Amino acid sequence: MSVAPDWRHLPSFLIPKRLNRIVLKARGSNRQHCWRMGEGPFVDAPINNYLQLRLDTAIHGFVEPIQSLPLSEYQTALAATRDQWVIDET
Amino acid sequence: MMFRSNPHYLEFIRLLRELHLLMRDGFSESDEAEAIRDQMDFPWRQLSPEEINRVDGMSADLYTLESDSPIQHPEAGGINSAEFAAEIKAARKDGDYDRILSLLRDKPQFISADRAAFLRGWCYEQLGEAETAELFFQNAARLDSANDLYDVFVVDQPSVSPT
Repeated sequence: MSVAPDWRHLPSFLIPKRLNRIVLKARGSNRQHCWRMGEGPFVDAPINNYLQLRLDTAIHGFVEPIQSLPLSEYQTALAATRDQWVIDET
Repeated sequence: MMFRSNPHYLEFIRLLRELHLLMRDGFSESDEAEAIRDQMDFPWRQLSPEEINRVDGMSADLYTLESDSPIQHPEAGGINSAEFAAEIKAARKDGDYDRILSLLRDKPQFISADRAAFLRGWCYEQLGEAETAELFFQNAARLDSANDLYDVFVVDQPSVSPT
């Protein structure tokens, strides 16, 4: 799953149009929301026993499995983080 | 930097213009718009940072073709700041058209809507973005129909009136 250090760095088509007063490029659907997880620095680090954050650039990274596992288990691991995500559109 | 020699860049801006037209006409939440957004993901991942800056700016600039644009210029008065004019001139001297576009975006209060539309068209034309340039030339001609220079730069008459 792709992630960014700040919702303002997301591609234009993923940022809801209603936010174009804050980020002029916003072209996303207003049915979507920008979410944030955690408060820590955007660096390579484990998230829990199954997932880790791996950066490929300073403004893009992946929440990925720490080791190879079936897709369904990866999805379950992601779903288990659901309560840690909050809407952040400020 | 690749821009127009990068097929993914060309594909992305084609999709961006399509999405803009749908959003302008009130179909931002349509299935068609969502399908275009999905198609934008792959080419976006192939863009360089410079190309991303260009397409992000273009996305913002296309909003100025709409009445509720977050970028608002005065209705008339041309350029009303000597400092702003000097900045435009310096960027022009350097051939830095992205910089001119950025100035129009960041300091809209210093230039009227018709002049800004014309300058955007001219900058995009200089950058090789003829299809995008045409949209801004059409808007300049619409905003000041008495200015025959603007009309001269319009190649194709708009098939749908901008809102």
